Amino acid sequence: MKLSTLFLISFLGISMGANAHGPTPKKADKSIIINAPIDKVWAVIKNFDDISKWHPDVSASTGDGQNQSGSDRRMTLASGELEEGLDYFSDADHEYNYRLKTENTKVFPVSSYTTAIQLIAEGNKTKVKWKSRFYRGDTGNTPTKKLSDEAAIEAMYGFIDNGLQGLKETLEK
Amino acid sequence: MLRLSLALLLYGFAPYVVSDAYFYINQQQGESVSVFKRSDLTLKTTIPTLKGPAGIAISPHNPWLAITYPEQGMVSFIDSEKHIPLEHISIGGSPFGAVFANKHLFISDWSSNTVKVIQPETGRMIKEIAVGKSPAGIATNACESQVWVLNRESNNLTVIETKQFKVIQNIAVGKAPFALALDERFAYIANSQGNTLSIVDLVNLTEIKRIKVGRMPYGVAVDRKQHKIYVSNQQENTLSVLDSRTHKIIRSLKTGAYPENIAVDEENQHLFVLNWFDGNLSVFDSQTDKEIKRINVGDGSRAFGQFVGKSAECND
Repeated sequence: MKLSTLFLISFLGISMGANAHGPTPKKADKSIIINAPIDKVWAVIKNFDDISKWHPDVSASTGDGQNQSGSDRRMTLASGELEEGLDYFSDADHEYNYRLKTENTKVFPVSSYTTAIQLIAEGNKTKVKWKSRFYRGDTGNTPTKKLSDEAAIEAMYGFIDNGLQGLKETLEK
Repeated sequence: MLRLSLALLLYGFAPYVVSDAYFYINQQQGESVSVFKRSDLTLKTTIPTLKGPAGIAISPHNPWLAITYPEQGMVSFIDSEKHIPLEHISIGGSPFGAVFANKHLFISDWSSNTVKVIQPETGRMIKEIAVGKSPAGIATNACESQVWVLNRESNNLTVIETKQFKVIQNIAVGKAPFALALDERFAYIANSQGNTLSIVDLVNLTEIKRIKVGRMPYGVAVDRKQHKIYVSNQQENTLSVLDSRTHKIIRSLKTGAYPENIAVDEENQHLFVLNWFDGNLSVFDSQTDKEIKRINVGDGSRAFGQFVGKSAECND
């Protein structure tokens, strides 16, 4: 390489908007303590298709009732229907993992997510752990406000918080 | 002051192989790259970057790193000896994976479905090569004569030769191929939605085997000294360990939550696993496969690509 073939690259001034976060994955890591033994909590939450029985934001839910990897469920929210697929289910670990099967950002402003729900016994009480990894509705570089990181975080956190609270109320009533 | 550094001027394309003394983790949720010493695993320094660094490439011939920013359409060159940014280059699209090969930087752009070729000494993009949909993982063979890129939404990969920048072949693999690693004979491809590892022969360019691994395989690393292939299974918090001579799974290792990018330091016998959800890095002894340390690297850390330098062993 000859020095004459080199030339300086000028530094490009870059302005970044406050929302320039882009397709960086986001996480939610929430939990709640429920005043009920783990078997009772598991009995309520274990049936993948029965989320409408404990989640206040879900008015109806249906599925194949199998609770196994490959099972799908459809849930009806106020904004419309969402389809999710079960990837992992363990009675022994009181845990299941699932993911959004078909993106529908008009119903829920998140383009993709995976979720793990797990129960941990704490004496006669139960800790419910809900973890999600997700991307905003529009993973392009100029999302609208409705499909922004902020909108995705608000929707996901809200859904999880309402779910955990609903589960607690279902079990402690 | 950001300008072309003296180091770059002095080195040009040195024929010798530099084995970088550091490894690098991007703060994708922030604006920096953390630099760790490979020898004692301590934090050496932090280099400022633009917002949202995701992919990384380490040049085996020059003291350079390249960092990609998918949301900015930008790529940075960083001096890997002085640990200062050199240049930020606008190439548009969503640059994600990166690899240095045959004196150029190859970038997978997952929104334009191309591989972009950048000449480091000018910072110019000299070529755009059409590949499949949503290209992600990208790597080169030992002699840097080919670049392999995974087309996540096309369920295949594209082999590009690095002299004329021509596509040699597309090879079908499993569902949603995302990350890969190559040794002298094979390419190992994590099919993230197929829960499989594809093994593709580098000479015949054919898939010879597809092995079931864990759920959502997201990272692959090869340890040539230990004859092992490691695969991170993002959704079950494990690593699958395969013997590279038999292509059989020999054990499964427990990791932190959401293990994603992984890399091997063959010289120090370390395997690094970035536990994305936990914001930390597991360090395993690659001979015993025992976890020896966990290093906090912060929330939203990412290091998509070969984040530990690798010595090239080209026998041509």
